Parts: sequence; structure tokens; C-alpha cells
Amino acid sequence: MVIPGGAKTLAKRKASKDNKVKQQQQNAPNSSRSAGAGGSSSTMLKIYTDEAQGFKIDPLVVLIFAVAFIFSVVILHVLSKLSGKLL
Amino acid sequence: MSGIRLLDLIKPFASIVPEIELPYEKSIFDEKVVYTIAIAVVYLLLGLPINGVNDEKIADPFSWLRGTFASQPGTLLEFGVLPAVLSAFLWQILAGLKFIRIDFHSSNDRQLFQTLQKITSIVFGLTFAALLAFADYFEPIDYFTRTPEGSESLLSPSFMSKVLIVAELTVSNTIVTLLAELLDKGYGFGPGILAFITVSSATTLSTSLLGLTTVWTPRGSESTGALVQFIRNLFSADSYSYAIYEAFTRQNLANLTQVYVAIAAFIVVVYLSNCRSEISIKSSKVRSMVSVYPVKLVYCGAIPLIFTYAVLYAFNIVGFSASRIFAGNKFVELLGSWELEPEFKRTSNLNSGLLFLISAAPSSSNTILNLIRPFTYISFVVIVSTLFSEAWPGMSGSAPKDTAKQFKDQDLALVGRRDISVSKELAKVIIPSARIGAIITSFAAAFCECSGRSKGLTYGTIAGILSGLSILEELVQEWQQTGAAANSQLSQFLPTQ
Repeated sequence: MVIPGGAKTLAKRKASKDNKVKQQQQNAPNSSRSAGAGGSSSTMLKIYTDEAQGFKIDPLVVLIFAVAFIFSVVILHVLSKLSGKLL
Repeated sequence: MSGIRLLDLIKPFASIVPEIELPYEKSIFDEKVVYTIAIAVVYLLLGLPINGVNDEKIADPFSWLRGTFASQPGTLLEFGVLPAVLSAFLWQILAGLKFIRIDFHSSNDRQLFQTLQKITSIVFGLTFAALLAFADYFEPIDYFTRTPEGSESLLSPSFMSKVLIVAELTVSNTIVTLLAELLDKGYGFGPGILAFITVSSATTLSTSLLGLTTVWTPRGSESTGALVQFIRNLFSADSYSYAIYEAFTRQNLANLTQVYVAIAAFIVVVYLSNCRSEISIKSSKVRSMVSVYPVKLVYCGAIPLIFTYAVLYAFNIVGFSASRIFAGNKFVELLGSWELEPEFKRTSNLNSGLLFLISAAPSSSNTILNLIRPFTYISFVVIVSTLFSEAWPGMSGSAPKDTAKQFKDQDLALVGRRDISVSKELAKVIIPSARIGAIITSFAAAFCECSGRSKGLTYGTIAGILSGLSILEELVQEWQQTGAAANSQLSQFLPTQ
């Protein structure tokens, strides 16, 4: 079988393909901001910018949960004062 | 794709991790202000003693590290934002250096990456809490007897109470992570982590100066505020010179020297963050539209400093726990050994070992270590921050290459330069300013801290003001550019122009 363009064509094609893949890998964004989505910038450390699937909660629920947690710790303190023990 | 990616491993967890909904529409300016304040208040309320721990009887080995992590010893904020900061840095650096393969173009990957950081943050909190609890960190030190071993007579925490402490800390750390997520997702201003750092360093600085609460010390009751204590001294002390000397040198709480150094650092940093180099840019579509693109001297803001101290904090937690759990081991002693501060018994200080050389703890009993410590400590902080600041723009999408791409998308060009060389021209400004900014801020922080007398106040202030300024930048941008000024109740008080 004769390869059009000479025997080296296949090697050349493979090399240029490899090069292209390499280039793509080098140019792939390495942070969410460089991919065009929000995220950490030079002066900011951000984590949460996308809405992931998961157990969705409302912002107010978080605040209420936080305050409830604080109160439960306060109640634990009161209980331990009353019972006079550490726990 | 060949092989299993790290991201695939956390897919099963993705459905049980709490995830805050994104706002349906962009939040109103005023609502954001209210949310930010509410979240900051809830955060500060978390500074409540852990149940089962007497926070006044804890010998705190990390007092000099707490500045930028909004943490308070013996409270639910024992670690502050440290777990969130560490996990964010860990994964963003690994992804930035392409050690882990993540396709940031794919929204699915980004979401998993985010869940990964959240899980890691919770795991870090759990690990640190467990380490400290089982290193007997939370065990009360008997205040007035001079046994360095902690008191045997007092009830030593049982296994169950240790588990309770770890559980409380883990839940509070999860809450901190969620609160940070609230701010990050646009319900409030600024990245949550930086907002908490700002709030806590502002409270620390003002309490150090004007705190009215009194603390019982072996010398009698003392005010937390240096200025308040100074005035009290003037009225109560026998001689004025003693009152003044005491106000400037007291060691157990903030003294006036520390506060003045912190305020000086504050002013210097505000000045520095106004230094910028302006690059002329023009529109490639519209004629004679020339504008400037400012590149700030402190290009990375507080991030290099926060990174350096996060690393130090993590080292110290691990080192301290190791020194307690494996007490007597030679290698652990080489790493570092802690000693209870004899007079006030409020802190344990690093005394020797490798960690002492990169710490700002008060002086050791070993003279040679004392002599080389300032050099090793300053060079460690400066070198780590500088190296990090050179890499960070590339990891956060603010490298010259990315900025050039943004310019191209917005049809902007540099005046007098060809399109191809934009990235090179930007690199000439951005890379040096990131480096120099980090060198200056980290040197200032390390220099003020290295005497071991500043107790984290100065570098906490520097990191706090830098983070505060980056949040403020975002706030002002929104105020001016999105028409918030017209619809806001605050427009009576704030300049609309």
C-alpha cells in the first residue's frame, strides 16, 4: 500500500496531533476564574461560586441553624452549671 | 478518560453535603448590607466558650497565630476560618499546578471541585479538633498553683467529654463554612473568609485599644483595652511613671506599644494599597477612548500573608498535638517543645525545636536559638509569601495571560502596543508588583512580630485591612456601577458619585 504524501506522513500527523493535545492541555484553565466562572481572584480567596447538586438549603435556614446551635451550646452551659458537672 | 479522577471519588458525598441555593435574582444592595452584618454578628456570636471547656484556664500555644484566622482560644471559634482557608489553598494550588485534573470549563467539574473543598474543610476541622482534644489542650490549667502539668485535682476530661468537644467544634466549623458560602454566593459582600478575617481583626484591634471588659489576673483585675487600662493606672497607681511604664509594657493583655505598632502598620498598609501603576488602554473599536488600567502594588492583597500563616498554624497544631501525645519522643522534641508561660499561665510558648525557629513566640531559654530566630522567622515568612505571590496570579485567573484574554474579549488594547504583546507587557508590571507587594507586606508583618511581643496583633491588622480593602473594592464597584446608588436607602449617607 502506498501512503499518499510519503512514508513519513503518518508520523507527522501523529506528531502534530500530539502537539495539539499538548497545547490544549497547556492552555486549559487552571482555576475557575480563568475558565470564565467566578472564583478566587488575585486578592480574594473564594470557594463557593457554583450551585452544586446536593442537599439544597435556604440562606435563612443557615442563619437560623447557626443561632439555634449557639443557643443549644448556651443551654448546655446552663445545664452543666446547674448539675455542677463538666457534662 | 483513563483512570479514576479524584473528583469522581467524592461524587457519592455530593448529595448529602449541604449546599446553599444561589439567589434567584441579584440581591439588592441594601439587602446585601443587612446580610453581611447579620452574618458577621452570627460569626462573632460563635465566640462562645465550648461546653466542657473553661476558656479562661486554657494555656494557648497559638496566640501569635490567631491574628488572621478570626479564631479565639477555647471557644467554638477555636480554629476560626483556618480549615476553610487551608482546604481552599490546598485544592486550588493543586489544581493550579495541574497536579489534579479538573476541567474548569465543565460546570459539573467545578461543582464537584467546590464540594471537594467543602468536605475537606469539614474534615480538617474535625481532625484538628480531635488532635487538640486528645492532646489535652482543652484541659484546664490550674491557675494559681505552679504545677506546669495542669492540675490533677480538677476533673480531667473524660473520653465522652472529649468527643463532645470535638462534635461541638466540628458543627461550629461546618457553620462557619456555610456562613462563608452565604457571602461567597452573593448574599453579602466579599468572599466569606476575608469578611470574617476583617471583622475579627477590627474587633481585636478595637478591644485591644478600648476594651472595657475586665479580666481577673494574678495582679488584680485588669481591663482588656490598653488605653482603658492606662487611664485606670493613672488613677490607681502610686506614681505616674509606673502607670505609664506599665501601660506600655504589660505582657498578659494588649499594651499600648502593640496597639501603636498595629496602628502604624495599618496606616502604612493603607498608603501602600493606594500605590498603583497605571497602564494606558484604549478601545480597539471606538476611536480616542483612552483609559487606564490600574495594577496595584499589593497585587495579591492579603492572600500571601494568609497563606504563610495558614501553613504555620497547621504546622503548629500538628506539632503541638504530637508533642503532647508522643511526649518524650526525640523526633517530636526536635520538632518543637512548648512550655507554660510561668507568670500568667495564659499561654504556652514554643521553647525550642524547628518550629521555634519559624515562630514569633517570646524568647526561648536557649540563647543561640534566640539569636538566629529573628532571621529564620523573617526569611521564612518573606520567602514563602513571595514564592506564593508569584504563583497565585496563575492559580486564580489573574495572571497576565488571563488579563490579556479579558482585554481581548472586551476589545481593549494597550496604547502603543501590538495585540500579541499585551500579555508580555502586562507581565512586566503584574509579576513584579505581586512580588514586591508580598515582600513589603510580609516583611512588615514578620518584622513587627519577630520580637515576640506583638502577639499577632500587627499581622492580624495588616491582613485584616488588606482583606477589608478588597471587599470594599467590590462594594464600591457595585455601588457605582450597578445603579445601586439610586435605589439604596444609604444614598443619603454615602457619596453617589
